[in-house]
Amino acid sequence: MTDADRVVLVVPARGEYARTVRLAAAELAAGAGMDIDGIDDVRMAVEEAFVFASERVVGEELSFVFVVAPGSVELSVGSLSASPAHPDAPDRGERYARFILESICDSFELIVDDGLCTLRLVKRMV
Amino acid sequence: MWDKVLTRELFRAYRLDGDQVSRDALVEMYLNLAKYLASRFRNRGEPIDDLIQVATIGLIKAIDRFDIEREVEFTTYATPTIVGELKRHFRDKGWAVQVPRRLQELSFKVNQAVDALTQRLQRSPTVPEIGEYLDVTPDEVLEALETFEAYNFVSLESDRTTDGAETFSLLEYIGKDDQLMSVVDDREMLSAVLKDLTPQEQQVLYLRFFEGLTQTEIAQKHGISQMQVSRLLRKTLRVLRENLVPEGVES
Repeated sequence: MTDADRVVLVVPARGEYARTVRLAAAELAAGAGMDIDGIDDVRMAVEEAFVFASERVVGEELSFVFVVAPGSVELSVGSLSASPAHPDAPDRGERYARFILESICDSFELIVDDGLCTLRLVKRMV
Repeated sequence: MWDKVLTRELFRAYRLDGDQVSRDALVEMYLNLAKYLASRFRNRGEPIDDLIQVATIGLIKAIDRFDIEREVEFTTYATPTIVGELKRHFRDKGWAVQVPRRLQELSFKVNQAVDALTQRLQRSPTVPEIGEYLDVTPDEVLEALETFEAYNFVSLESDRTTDGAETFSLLEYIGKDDQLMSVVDDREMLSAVLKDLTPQEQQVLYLRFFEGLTQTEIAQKHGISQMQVSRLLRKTLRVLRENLVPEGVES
């Protein structure tokens, strides 16, 4: 691994592909030198990001962009709809994802631009 | 597709007069909804007839709980109830994928290795360290970590109850300014959301997300393995998510 590598994973927006993304994220976190606790946090964050993104997917696929450097893993998931698919609980899904991801990650952002949003999070080694 | 006027009449007859014939008619009328929702889960290795049975149970629950005074269509209310029943069915089955015996055994060994190395190194181990300890590749270690959570090792081990966890109630520790309160509407909703979690699961949730302990620290504090903490947490988060956002996708 060089100073910072970019890894892109595009999967169908279906639940059975969350495992694929989790495995890849765990591999990348291990390559960044994280210990088991850090790797588990990355896997948990990826799972929550997958669920959140699936509820806002535009089209049929989700794109996960990892930027991996020694000691850190950054993940961006976009371009997602800024509005959730289920208007009955308009923002509870977002609030839940924010609660989990802000606890696990060193940084968490939802960047909204022109009706689309990108979820971005960073996990660093302690 | 569904006669809204007839639906309201049947619900009034059932609610006000306890008319079971009206209740049965409602089940019959909305059985197609249950079948449709069941079909969305058909690619997970379960016979469709079993799924329809589970979905029908969800439909009956929705009929029994629906408040006819609410300004919402019954289908809008029933859909998350039925989907929630189907998701709980899969969660309670224990695993969603077939796992080779070799991976099952390796997961068990990795579980033990993580704890042994944590004891020796006095810190959480890395994947290469675990691989070297077990003489397996890092890829195999990562796959074993993933497998451990996906598979119910009923015959190999059981989760021990943590000290003091038998009566732990997260509600007692959550203040109005805590971030979890920003997710729910009120404490009554929080209580409903937490009802499906055991005291141990609530305690692990508290230690991880409110006290900021790492999984290794939680494991050491309570004499269970780090991978058991990981599995507990993952299951806990799934339950929380289902109870908070029942319409969501399951991963």
